[in-house]
Amino acid sequence: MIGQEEAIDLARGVADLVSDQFDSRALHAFVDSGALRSLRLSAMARELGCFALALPEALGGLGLGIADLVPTYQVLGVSMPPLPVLSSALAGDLLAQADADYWIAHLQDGEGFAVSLPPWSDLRLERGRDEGKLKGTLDFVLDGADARFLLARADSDSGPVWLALEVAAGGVTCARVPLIDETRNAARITLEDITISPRSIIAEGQSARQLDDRLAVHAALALAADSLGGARAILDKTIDYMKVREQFGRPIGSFQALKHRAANLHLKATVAQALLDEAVEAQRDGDLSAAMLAHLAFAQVADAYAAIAQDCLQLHGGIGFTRAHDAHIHLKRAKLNLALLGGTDAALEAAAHLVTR
Amino acid sequence: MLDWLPKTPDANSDVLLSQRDDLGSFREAIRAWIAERLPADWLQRLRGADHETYVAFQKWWFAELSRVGLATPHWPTGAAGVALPLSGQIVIYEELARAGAPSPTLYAFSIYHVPATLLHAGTGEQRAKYLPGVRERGDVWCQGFSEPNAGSDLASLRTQAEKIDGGYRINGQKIWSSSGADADYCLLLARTDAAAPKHKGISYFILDMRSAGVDVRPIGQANGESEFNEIFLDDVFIPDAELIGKQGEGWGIAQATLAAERGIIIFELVERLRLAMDARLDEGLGAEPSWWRNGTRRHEFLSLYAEMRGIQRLIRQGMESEGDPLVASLVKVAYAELLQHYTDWVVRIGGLSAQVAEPLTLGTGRHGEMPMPDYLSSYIWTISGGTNEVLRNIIAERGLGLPRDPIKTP
Repeated sequence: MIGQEEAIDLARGVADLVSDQFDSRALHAFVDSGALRSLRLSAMARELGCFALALPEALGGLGLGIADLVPTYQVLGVSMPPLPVLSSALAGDLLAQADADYWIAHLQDGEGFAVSLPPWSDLRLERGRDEGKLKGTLDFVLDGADARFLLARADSDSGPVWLALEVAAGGVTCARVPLIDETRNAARITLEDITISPRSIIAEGQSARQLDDRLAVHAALALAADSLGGARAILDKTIDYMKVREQFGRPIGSFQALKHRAANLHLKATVAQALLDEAVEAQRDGDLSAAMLAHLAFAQVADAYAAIAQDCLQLHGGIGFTRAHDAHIHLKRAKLNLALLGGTDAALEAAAHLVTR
Repeated sequence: MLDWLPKTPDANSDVLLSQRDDLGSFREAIRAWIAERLPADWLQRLRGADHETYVAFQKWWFAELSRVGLATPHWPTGAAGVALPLSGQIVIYEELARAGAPSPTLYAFSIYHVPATLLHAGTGEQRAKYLPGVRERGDVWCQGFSEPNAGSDLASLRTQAEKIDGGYRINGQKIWSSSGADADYCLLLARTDAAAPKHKGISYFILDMRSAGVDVRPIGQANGESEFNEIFLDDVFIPDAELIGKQGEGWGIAQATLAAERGIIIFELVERLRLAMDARLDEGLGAEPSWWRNGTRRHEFLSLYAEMRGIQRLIRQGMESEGDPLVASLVKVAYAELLQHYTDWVVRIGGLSAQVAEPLTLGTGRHGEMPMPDYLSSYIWTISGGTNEVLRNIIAERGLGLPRDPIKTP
């Protein structure tokens, strides 16, 4: 039985290993290829247990809670490998909470899972005596393009229901949605009167509502951590550039206006890190303010990533605008992050409803 | 490949310009002409089209505009233009924008920077040889200014022009050259005197892009296009007759070229932006989309709209006051920032649907076609034509008289 600190370090170490295999050259080669995944990288990540991090130790994971996963998400936000780590962790955490053994087994086998995220789509489950019928469309499912299983949240006469289903099942249409962010994939999944067996229902009623909230917090913290990793990465690159790029006979970093701008960006990233740390600690300690802080962290940090990436591209001048540079990759990731979970508007509203001091 | 386009008549026609004295008739005539010549579905047909198709389409449209005198309305009569007054130019750009007509992006440099340069410093022979080529033959020009080590500090450029018998031998490399891959000619800055102070050793040339030793390579861009190019020059010969002005005067003449980038070219773009934002305002008032019902987004939009109205007036005033360089710098910075903020706002209200990649229509980054490519294309304005940073220096130092940064000796 490994200790919590050890587990956190192990997970981060695994993320570091994967990142070492996915340097800038590999990143650009991948992005330019238009491929869905890097099969070699996915195989390595699977071997290292990247997709089972959230499962309990007894089930082959590292038993990491939401707060514990944040450092891993942050490391991956730096290197941006095309791996469904977030989706697997969201799924693993939900399934572990729900004790959904049958589906956990699939996760253990390394099968790809995608999870529907808030804001919830209109999925409707009509309950029958034994089976139910599910219909509706999920417009945007992250990692949906190659997932084998889907965790979806539907409404029913008896309230919210969390379901697990096989994407290859009859009545499920999965269409890849090409993204501006070339490091991630998504799909539109349409469900036409799918027969739902009792086994597919992993939570309902009050349990389902709890999973709703838990997923929202997990996704918020994960995207905040991803944003911070990416923001620091592009900022560090920019500062290094400003030290060596010379124009007018001197490094451009020697111009006061640019120095101030770099300082402002660093300030923004530093405060964002501190806010994320605050939210993580509240989550770990089970504070009443944890959920509020998670949503605030997403709103602020995702915004910060976009602002930092935007300015860092500009600070590089012409080369910042080229595909060959990392700047546009970060900027596109930042913009996608900002569009997820209903954006900062939804996050700030959610926080407003959760105010506790 | 473009058989759905009408064939352009060979002869020029006065049908539109003959009505320019009555703005009402002029406007109606232009509107009717666009409706007749431009297929309504041009944008859809060009979605996902390759570069070759984009170039062919641009050439077709430019020829159409040229036949009826709409391609270069701002050219003075000395360049066989009609020196159309500002009011007339506004009508043209408004009608083109209203019809969602293509912007002649392949020709931007050819119709603004080239006449600005040749009318300022070209010889009579050079003007007679080259300006009609743009209007009559659709010659495409590109800029050969920036280098990998000479971006903001353009004056430190190192491409060499060695004086030889009958002309010059050019060696070096240029970068960020728009339309370089399709250009017939290039306005090239090169160093003729390495010993002279850096601003004084530069000369300005017309380079025939078909010359031996010219190698052009497109650069992939963040917005998914590759409009910019690297140009490698390996023992390229330029005849004496193609020197613009005198040897060593290139830097001064280039200021006229750079000024074109910061004034008139933005005029057309702001007229288009005005129309786009008016349309959005109408949409807000009419259909009340979710962004209008969201107070924050609505206020953000109105604030951007206010900014745009101010900038549009500033540019129109600037056009009438004949190129005050301070106004040009202000206009360029203001427009670039507004464009970035507005396109960013459009991305934001687009939510997840704005993050979906659609097949691009090349050269239409400023058409409000797709939120993310439009937003990414805004960097073309914040970075090229003088970065916003350099222009702020110009505004502060030359405009406001603030002291220059002290020069540090390394």
